[in-house]
Amino acid sequence: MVELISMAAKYVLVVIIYVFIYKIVQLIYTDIRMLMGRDSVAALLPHLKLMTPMGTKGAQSIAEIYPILRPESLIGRSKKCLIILPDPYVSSEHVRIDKVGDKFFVEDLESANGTLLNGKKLERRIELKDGDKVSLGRIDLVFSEGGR
Amino acid sequence: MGMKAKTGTSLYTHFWGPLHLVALTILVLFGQLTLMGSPIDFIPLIMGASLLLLIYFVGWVIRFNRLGDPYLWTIVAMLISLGQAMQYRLSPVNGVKQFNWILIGVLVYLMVYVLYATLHGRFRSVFFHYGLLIALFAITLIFGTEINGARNWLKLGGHTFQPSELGKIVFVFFMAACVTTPERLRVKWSGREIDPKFVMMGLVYVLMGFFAIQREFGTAMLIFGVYLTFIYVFERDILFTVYNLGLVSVLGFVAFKTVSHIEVRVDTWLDPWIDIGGTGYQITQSLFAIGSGGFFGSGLGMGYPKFIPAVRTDFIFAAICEELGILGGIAVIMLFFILLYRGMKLALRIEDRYMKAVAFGLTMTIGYQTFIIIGGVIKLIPLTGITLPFLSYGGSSMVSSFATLGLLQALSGQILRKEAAQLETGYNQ
Amino acid sequence: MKLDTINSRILHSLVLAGVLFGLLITSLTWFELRGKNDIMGNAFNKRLIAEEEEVLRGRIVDRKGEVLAETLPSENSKIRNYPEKRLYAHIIGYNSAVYGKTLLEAKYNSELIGKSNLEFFQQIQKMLSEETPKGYDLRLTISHALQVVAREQLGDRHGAVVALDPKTGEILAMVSTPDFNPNASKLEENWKTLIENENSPLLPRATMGLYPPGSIFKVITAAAAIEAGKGDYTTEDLGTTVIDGMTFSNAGEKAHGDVDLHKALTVSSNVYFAELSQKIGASALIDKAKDAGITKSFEFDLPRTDSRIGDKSMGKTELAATGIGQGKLLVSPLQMAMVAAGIANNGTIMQPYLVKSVEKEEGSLLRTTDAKSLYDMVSAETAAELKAMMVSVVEEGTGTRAQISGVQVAGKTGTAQNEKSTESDSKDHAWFIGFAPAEDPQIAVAVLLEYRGEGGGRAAAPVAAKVMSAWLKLSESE
Repeated sequence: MVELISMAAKYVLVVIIYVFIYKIVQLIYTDIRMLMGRDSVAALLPHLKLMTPMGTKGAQSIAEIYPILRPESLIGRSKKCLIILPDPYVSSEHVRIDKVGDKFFVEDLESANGTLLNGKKLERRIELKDGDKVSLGRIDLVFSEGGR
Repeated sequence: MGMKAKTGTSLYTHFWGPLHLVALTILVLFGQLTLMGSPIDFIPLIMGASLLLLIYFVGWVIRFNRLGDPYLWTIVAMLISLGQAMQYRLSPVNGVKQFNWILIGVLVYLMVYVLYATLHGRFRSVFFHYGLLIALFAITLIFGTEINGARNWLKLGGHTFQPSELGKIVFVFFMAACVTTPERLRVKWSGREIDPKFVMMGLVYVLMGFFAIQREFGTAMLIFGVYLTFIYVFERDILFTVYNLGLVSVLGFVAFKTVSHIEVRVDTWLDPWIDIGGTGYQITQSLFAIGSGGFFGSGLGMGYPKFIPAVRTDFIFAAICEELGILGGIAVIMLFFILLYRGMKLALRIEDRYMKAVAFGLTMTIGYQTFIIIGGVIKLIPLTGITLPFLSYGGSSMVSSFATLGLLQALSGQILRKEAAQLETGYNQ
Repeated sequence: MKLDTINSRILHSLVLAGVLFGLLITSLTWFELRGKNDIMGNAFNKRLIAEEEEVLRGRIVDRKGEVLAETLPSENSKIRNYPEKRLYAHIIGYNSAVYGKTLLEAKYNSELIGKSNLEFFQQIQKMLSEETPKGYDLRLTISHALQVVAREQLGDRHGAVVALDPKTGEILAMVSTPDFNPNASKLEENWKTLIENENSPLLPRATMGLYPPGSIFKVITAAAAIEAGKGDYTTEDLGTTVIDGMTFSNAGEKAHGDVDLHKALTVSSNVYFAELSQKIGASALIDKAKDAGITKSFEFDLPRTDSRIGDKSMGKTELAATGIGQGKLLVSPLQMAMVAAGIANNGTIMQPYLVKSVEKEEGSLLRTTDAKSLYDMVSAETAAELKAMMVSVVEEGTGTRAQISGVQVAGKTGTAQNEKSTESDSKDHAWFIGFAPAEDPQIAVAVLLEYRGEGGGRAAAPVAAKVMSAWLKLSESE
């Protein structure tokens, strides 16, 4: 009887161990894809993506992907902002992104030159959907929910 | 796969799945061991249950506190489960002892993590590390007791332990210090300054010599492997690595011709069948065992690992191949490789050179050690007497393996926190 | 040093580790698939013994069920008993805890201890039942009665007798002398003397011994001639002939006058065949020898050695020597029995085999061996011609001592010079190959008597006759 159990068990055991290895390798594989550049980590989180490459005179490294993690994120020219855009047509505090639970809202902070959402002027606080384009100054930012 | 976006990395999101599989493995293995008693053996039942609790508990601690890469623990959990089941099967009395060592090992693992967080960066002195190594040697030489022809054991209060297991960790720190702060190696010899490279070389070769004299060829091989990879990675000039390789080849050849002990080992490796009752006994019994299990093994408890000499220590891998099959053996090799991969990835991400070197060195140590002993057991390379991390019987081996793991875990935790912080504070300045 | 370089070198190290570990996996797999086969039967592999402890090792029986090997209980353990003692030492071998396993005991070890891949559900059944598991039995093709006759006929002389059924390839009897007692206690007692005995009693001559064939090889020379279109060669045999400066003479330099192929074989004329070989050429002769299996290997139940012949670049004198069965030729008794069987079986040599079936105790078969053809030695016409010549050999030629009353026997005698032969003291091997009855052969034999110094016709032929007639009588009652 014991022999029978042992005989069955050895096949079961091998199967379990290899499923284990397979799962780990699978997880590692997705992990590798995540690490193909630091920015890609951020791409899995909700973020704003810079569509306009900036010609920088004041040498700052401008990332292309900005994850939105805080309840309030400021975008503008001022150094107080989360996303600093040194464009002359951008106000010091131009736009604010609010994170409420899993939802994101964009609001224009009475900027001098205004903000466009998908080409239309942003009048009030609106919820951001995946793929929305926010334009301020000469810069386009696209919102993504991440998770891909 | 659909990962939900959450704050922080998604490293932990699919953590529990594999751990459940480890739990399943424990159930099958220890269930079998329990049923094999007459009528039932309670010890494996308790052992298995404890092991289950242990892996989930530690897993949870790491997960909950974000203590770095959780897969290090996952893989090791599987390894120690397989190992512990085999150890108990081979000798119930010693199996219990081994289980205690696992518990102590895990304790060391967590302790090292904490200690490292507080102490890191303080001890970077080259000579501190080298001095430690010499001290270990001196103590062993003077106070050591001889076991099985090698005088590398220390007896302390009823327990024997191998200082070389500790030494190899210190060696990694030593090498890391050498390659990242070579200026500390500046030595003056009759007015002229010697290139720190050669000072390091001299120190390392002397160390290798020490080990060789003490007949610890496995450790000497290990030290050399780690050293060679270190200089390949961290020295700009690849030629230096090539010269070292050449030098050791020559030295090795000379040693082979002059030291009869080494010649015997190489001859036995090439043809163990000539003296199958004498010098070839160990490796041939190992091969018989490995060959008799087939791909799926003869089943836990159904094979004859008792015919393998030193089966709980050096030849544990042969016993695994006999009872858990060639597939089992290959799985163990793969698991170690994945562990190596995690370690290397960690080393790549660390920016501080010293810590990068430490992570790299510790990983290579595990890698070489595994390769050397498994390779010897399957007759790919000559047999040497070093242990298989996490699987071989012995407190020193287990504690040292967990200490290494703890260090890697600590480094990984540090890096993870740093990266998460970077993400949260934004990218500009 | 730049961080990037360091990082890329770290990656190199990872690749190195991958290669090393891949090497481990590959060599482990290779070992399992191929490397282990040669070593697992080693006597030092205690598992073989341990596994056996738990099983009642199967018996080995002859074609009629006579027990030739069985395991009997003795005191606390079991003992492997060979009731016929020496008679089957060179077929069954021995099963010793000290000296390991040989021959059939080794080759069929798995079956004898009951391990079998075909029987998955039976294995489960076995595990559920509580009684001592039994191994499988081997039923051999050997006829015990015939084996006894063959051994008797050899007597004190060293040599071998191989008897085959030409239609199926079954080995009916196979004896090698000197032999030894394979029972464990005797084996251990005598081991040292056995090993040191210069007559090599442990050597199975029938399968592993190599000897110059002498005149029995002429059947192959004749076959080569016929199929090369030189079968109509005639010559005046004056007792000696010179080929390329070397003299070849008949036995006693006897002259036979005008001879053709038929007559030459009947009287075994060296002159004729030495000259004939020149007509055939080395290439054709060697090819025909290969067609008969010389230099070739085949799967067999026992270890065997391949027969040898010189190469195609041989000179004229070596060619002549080869043509009459000397030169660099070395053959085993089994090989020559196969040649005789091939001629008997219309030119096709059947694959020889020893184990008729593997059986479970109740007589139900696990598996049987089927007759298989192995080599197409000659065409049926050539075989018929050869057969007619070989009948003459026995009726009126050198092989008259192989006659059996009431039966037409075909054969060829041989007296082979060897390394021990000198002018004064002939140590020539005595050979005979043949089959009977010629018109519908039931048995083919090869008889070798080592270093006898007597002619094949004189010493070996009578042995063959006795063995063949014994079989014919036995098979009447089968």
